[in-house]
Amino acid sequence: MKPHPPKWALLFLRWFCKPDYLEEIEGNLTELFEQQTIKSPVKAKLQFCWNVIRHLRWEYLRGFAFRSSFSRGMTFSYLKTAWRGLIKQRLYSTINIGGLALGLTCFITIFLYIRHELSFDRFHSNAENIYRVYQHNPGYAYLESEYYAFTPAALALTLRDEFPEVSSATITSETNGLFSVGDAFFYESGYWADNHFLRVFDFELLIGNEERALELESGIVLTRSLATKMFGDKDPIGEIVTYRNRWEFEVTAVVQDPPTNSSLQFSFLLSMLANGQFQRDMREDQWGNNDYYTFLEIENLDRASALQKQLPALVSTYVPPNPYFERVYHIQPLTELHLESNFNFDLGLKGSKQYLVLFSMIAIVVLLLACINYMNLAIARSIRRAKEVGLRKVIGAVRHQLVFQFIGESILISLLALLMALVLTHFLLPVFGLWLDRSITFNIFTDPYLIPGLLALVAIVGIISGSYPAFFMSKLIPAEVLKGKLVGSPKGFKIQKWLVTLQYATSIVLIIGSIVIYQQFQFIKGKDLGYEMDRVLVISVFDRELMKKADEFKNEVLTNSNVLSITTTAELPTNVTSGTTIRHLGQSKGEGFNIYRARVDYGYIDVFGIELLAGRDFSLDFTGEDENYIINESAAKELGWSPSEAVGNQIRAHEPKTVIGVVKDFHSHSMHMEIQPLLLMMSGGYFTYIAIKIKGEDMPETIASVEKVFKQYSPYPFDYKFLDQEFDQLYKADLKVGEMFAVFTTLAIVIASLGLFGLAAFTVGQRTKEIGIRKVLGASVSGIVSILARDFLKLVAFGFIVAIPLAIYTMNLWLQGFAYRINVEWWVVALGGLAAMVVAFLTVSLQTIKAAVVNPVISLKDE
Amino acid sequence: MKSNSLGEFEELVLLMVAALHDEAYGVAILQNLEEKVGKKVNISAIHVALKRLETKSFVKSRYGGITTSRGGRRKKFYVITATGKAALDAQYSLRTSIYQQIPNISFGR
Repeated sequence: MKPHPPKWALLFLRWFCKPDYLEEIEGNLTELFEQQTIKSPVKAKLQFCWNVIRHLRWEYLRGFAFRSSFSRGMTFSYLKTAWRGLIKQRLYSTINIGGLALGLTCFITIFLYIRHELSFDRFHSNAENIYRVYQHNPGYAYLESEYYAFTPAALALTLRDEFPEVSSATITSETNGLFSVGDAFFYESGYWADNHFLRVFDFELLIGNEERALELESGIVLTRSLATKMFGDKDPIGEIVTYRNRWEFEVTAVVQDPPTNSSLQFSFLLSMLANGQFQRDMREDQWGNNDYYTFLEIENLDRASALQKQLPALVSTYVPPNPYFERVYHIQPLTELHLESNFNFDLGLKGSKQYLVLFSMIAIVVLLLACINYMNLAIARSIRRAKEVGLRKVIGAVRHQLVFQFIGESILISLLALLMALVLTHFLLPVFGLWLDRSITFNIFTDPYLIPGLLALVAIVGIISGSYPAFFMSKLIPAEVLKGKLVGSPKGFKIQKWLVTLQYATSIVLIIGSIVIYQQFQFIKGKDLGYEMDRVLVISVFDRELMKKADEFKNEVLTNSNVLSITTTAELPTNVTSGTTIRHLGQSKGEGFNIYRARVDYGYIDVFGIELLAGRDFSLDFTGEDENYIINESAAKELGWSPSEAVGNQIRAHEPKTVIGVVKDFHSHSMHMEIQPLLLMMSGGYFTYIAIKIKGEDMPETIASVEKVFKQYSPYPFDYKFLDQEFDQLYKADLKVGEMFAVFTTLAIVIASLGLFGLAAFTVGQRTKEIGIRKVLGASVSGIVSILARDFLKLVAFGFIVAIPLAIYTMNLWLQGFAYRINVEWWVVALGGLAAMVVAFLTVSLQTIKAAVVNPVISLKDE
Repeated sequence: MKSNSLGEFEELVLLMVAALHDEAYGVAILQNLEEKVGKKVNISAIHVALKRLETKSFVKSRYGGITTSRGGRRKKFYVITATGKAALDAQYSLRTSIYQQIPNISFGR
C-alpha cells in the first residue's frame, strides 16, 4: 500500500491555504514526503507536519485578499459609479437619503434625550457616594404609593452623629417666596438647607466660604444668576435681602447655577436654622413631622449596605411609635433619584423609565424601517444596475469585491444621510427639548464620543441596509444578465415583499394606537367630571398678607358684575392631593380609613358647580362651621351610610365633627384613579388658590379688573390660569404619549410609503411589456391599474392581519392604566387598516397609472 | 512601488531556477540547492522566495501534467524571465566590478 501523509495535517493545510497556492504547496510537500518515507516513515510524517506549520504565513491564508481587491483605481471607480448613480436617479436618491436621514434624525434625537436623562445628578464629583433617605409606610398608601420622600427633622442629625458609616448628612426642604431688595421684588424658589448642604453636594462655590455660608442663622446663598439679577455687577457678599417681607438675610456666598441635569433646582439656599417650622420641630416633634429631605454622603458601597441593615434598629431606638402606620427607612443612591417616579412629595424634575424604554423602542423601530426602505429601493434599483454587475463580473470582479462595492455604497449614502440628519437634529432638538421640559445640548465638536459614535452608527446602518442588496446583486449570473434577461423572477423578490408587509404592519399598529389614544382623551374630556371647568379663573397665591385680607379682597372683586362667585381654597377639585384618616366615633385610632381632604371656604361648591345630594353647603348664616365636614358619596358609602343618613352624624379625624352635607362624587383625581372618599372642611383662613367664576362676556376685561384689584392687595405676581388648563396639566404625560404617537405614526407611514413606492416602480418597470400587450389586446387603463395594484394591496392586507392582534393587545395594555376607559372597538381597527390601504393604493397608483396610460407603441418598441 | 531588489536567498533561488531551466519546480529547486549549499533548507522558504520572485515578475510559472505521484497534484514549473535575467546580470556585474577593485593582495601561506 502506498503511504499517505498524516491526514489531519493535510486537511489543515487545505483548510487554511488559499486555493491558488494549494496545488503547488500540497504537491511539493507530498513529493518530499514520498521520497523521505522510503528512508524513515516516522520522520517523514513529522517532517510533513512541520512543513505544513512552516507554511502558516499570512500571505497563504484564505480571506487575506486585500492586496488584490483594494486597488486605488477600483475604489475610485466604485465612488464614481456610486456618484453617477445618485445624480442620474435623483428621485431614488432623494427618497433613499431622505428616508435614512429621517430615521437617523429620530435616532440621534432620542439618543441625546436618553443620554441627558441618564446623566441626571452625575455631575457631582462624589455622585456615587451620595444617598437619600426615603420612608416606606406599609399599608398607608397615598396617591396609590406607600413611599414618601419626606423624612423627619431629627433624622439627618441622628444619622450624622450616631452612625459612623455616614460621613456627612444634610437636611433640606423646598421653599418659595418673594424677596425684596430696596424697592425691587423677586419671586424665587429654592431650599432651606443646613451647613452640610454644600459639603455633601458639589455645587461650585464662586464667592464666599463653604464652611460658613449656611452656618449663620441669617445666611443666604444665591446662585450666580439671582445675584446678578438682584445686585448687578456689585459684590453681593454682606448685602441684606428681605424674604416674604419679614425676615432679613445676609448674603454669605454665591454658587454657580445648578446645571439643567440636576434634580435639585434652586436659585437660593436659606439657612435651615432660620426656618421657624424646623425650630419648632426640633424642640417639640423631632420625629413626628415629616417635612424634610435627608441626603447622606457614605464613602463606599460596603458602608452603605451596612447602614441599610442598621436602619430598622434606628427606628426602634429613636422613633416614637405611631398609631397609624409603621415606618421603614431606606437609602437610595442620588443617581437613581431622577428616574424614581413612585414617591410621594419627591423633589426635582422627574423622568420616567417607561418613557425611556418606549422612546428607545421607537428610535430602533424607525431606524429599522428606514433601513428596510433602503434595502427595498436598492433591490428595486438593481434592475437598472444588473448590466453593470454583469460587466464587472465579466471583466473579472469576484463576489466579495461586489459585496464590498455595494456595502460601501450604502455606507456612503448613510454618511450623506447623517450629514442631513445632523442639520435636522440641530434644528429639531430645541423643539423636542421644549416639548419634554428639558434643555438638551448638542455640540458634536465638544463631545469626544459623539463623532466616533456617529461614524459607528453610520457603519452599522450602512452594513445592515446594504447587506441584502449586496449579496443579492453579487449573485447575479453575468451570462444571463448581459443577454438582457431581467433579473429576479418574482420569487427572488420575496424578501422585499416581506419587508413591505412588516413596514405596513408596524404602520397599522401605530395608526390604530393613535386613534385609540385620541378617543380616550375625547372620552375623558367628554365625561361628566362632577364639577364645571368652564369660565373658572384660578389665581395662585403665595402671599400670607393677602390671606389675612381675603374677605376684603373677595368683596372688592365681587363688585364687578361679570364676576359670578368667588372662593378661596388650598385644593382644586381637579387634583386633591392632601389627605388624612377618619373613623366613626366608636372606633379606635387604627380602624379608620384614608380619605382625601380639600381645605375650602364658603362658596367652593358654588364656584365649581358641584352637586349637593343631601344637607347643605358651608354658609355664613351658621356659626361654628369649623366643626363641620362635607363628605362625598364614596366617603358616605365607606362609612356605611346613605347620603341622607350621613347628614347630622359625627365622624372624627382628631376631634369629632358633624357631617352637614354630602356631595355627588366628582373626579377629584385624574381618570387613572377611581373616585376616592373625600371630605371638605373649612380651611381656617389658609389657602393657595383664589377661584373665580366669571361670565362669558368681556372675559379679558374681567380678568384685567381682577388683576387690578389683586395688585392693590399684593406685591406678588398675578399668576392665573383657567381651570381647564389645570385639568390638561393632569394628563400632560398622556398627552405627550399621544402626540408622540401621532408624530411617529406619520413618520412610519411616510417611510413605509417610500418603500412601497420603490417596489411599485420596480414591478411596473419589469412588467412594461406585459402592460403594452394587454393594452394592445384591449385592456382599459382602470383594468390595468387594478391588476397592478392588487398585488400590493395583498401585501398591505396581510400586514393588516398581522397588525390586528398586536394593536389590540398593546392598546388594551395602555388603557389598563386608566380607571375610566374606552374599549378598543372593531371599527377603529378596521379604520386603521383602511387608512393604510388607501395610502398604499395612492402610492402605488402614482406608478401604475403612469405605466397604464403609456402608448403601447412606446413600451413594445425597444430592441 | 517597491524597488525590485534581490535578496541573497532570492538570488540563490533565482539562479537555481535559471540553472534548472524548464525543470525548475519546488522540490527540484530545494534538493539542488541543498546539494550546492550543503545546508538544510525548508521548503516553505523556497515557496515564499518563488512567490516574491513571481510578483516582481523575475520568473513566470506554468503547471505540468497530472501524475499519480504527489497525491495527484500538478507540478508548478518556473522559468526565468528577461527581467529576471537582467536582474541577475546586473547583480553579477555589480559584484564583479567591485571584486576587480580589490587590490592584488596575497595572504601568506
